Amino acid sequence: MQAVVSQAAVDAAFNIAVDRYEAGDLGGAMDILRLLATVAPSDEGVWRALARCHDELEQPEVADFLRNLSTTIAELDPHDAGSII
Amino acid sequence: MTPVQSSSYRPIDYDVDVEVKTPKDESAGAEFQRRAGGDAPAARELLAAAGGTDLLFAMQIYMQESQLESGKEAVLSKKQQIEVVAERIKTAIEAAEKAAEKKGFWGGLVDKLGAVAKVAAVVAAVASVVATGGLSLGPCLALAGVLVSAMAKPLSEATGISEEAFLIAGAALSAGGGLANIAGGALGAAGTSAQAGGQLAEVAKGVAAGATVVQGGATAASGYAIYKRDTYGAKELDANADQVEASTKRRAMNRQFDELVEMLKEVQKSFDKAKQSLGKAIENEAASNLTLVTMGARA
Repeated sequence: MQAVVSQAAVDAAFNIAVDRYEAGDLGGAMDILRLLATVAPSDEGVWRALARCHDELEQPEVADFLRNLSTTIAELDPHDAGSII
Repeated sequence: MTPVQSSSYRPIDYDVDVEVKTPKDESAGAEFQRRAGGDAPAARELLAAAGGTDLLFAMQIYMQESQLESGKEAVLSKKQQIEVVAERIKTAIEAAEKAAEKKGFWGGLVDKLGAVAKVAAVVAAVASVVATGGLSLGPCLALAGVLVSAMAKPLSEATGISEEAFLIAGAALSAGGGLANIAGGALGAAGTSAQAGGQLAEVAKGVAAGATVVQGGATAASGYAIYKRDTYGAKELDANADQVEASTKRRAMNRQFDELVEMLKEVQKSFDKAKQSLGKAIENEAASNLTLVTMGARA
């Protein structure tokens, strides 16, 4: 199943997440990053940013899990990657 | 000799406040570097693409169907039901353990996050099958990650779906064929290549089984299975006690399914907030551009 959104859309949304993060709205940034993770699961940058948010929330186990997840997804056969929504 | 002063001479203002910029903490902000070319309006696609509500609805339908399907197993004898479910559980546990050792995927997370991660894996696997018509591992893993992220709480206020809830839900899905299908048959239905099948099946079983590394046996009750913390072996049950137990456990099962749906609802809320945030950013950019255009026209 292929990704349903363009890279431009993902990048634009990522930048909006950056804006939220820089404005101190960690929750808002995470909401956007979670959405991005679902529509573009192969984008490692999204997972790393989300993991960083969990680091800042003092949830290192979650952060490590997400980083490992990102690596696992990146190693998948492209045929198995894609978006669920 | 009188110094010549140009008409454009300006004395140096030593009172100017020079801002000293502290170098950015690269370790903290490296993940949040802006991407080139990502203008806000382009994010509009996401507002249309993200159909989280559909996923939740599909998930609820699947769960209802699983319950109906598993009821058909009631025609088998109690002992046969126990054997079927116990075998599935044993296979799932072995596969999960192998996958965990091989990939180090779950790491120590299961011990620390416990039930949340386990339920996330089960929900994600089922949802993936529902949403894609087969197992698509990338989205399945992604949804598991999103669920873990959405459900994670600070350690000081750690709550989560109980391990019992996972065990019951996992067993019920197994009894209904959900996990077994995900681990095996769905791969064929999804049409994945034979070449990728080996590794995919291995990891898929690990993901679908979640962290079902808990030792336990299973007792089938009207098509539902309940894990107990003992051996894999089937237990002989008194027929009357079975019926009473079945009714009680069915009610417990329904409660646990509701918990799984609640989990997806949390993700749905997160998605809704994200879309609001994106929509607002797009509007602000559009308004800002309009202002610039208007100012330019007036100049």
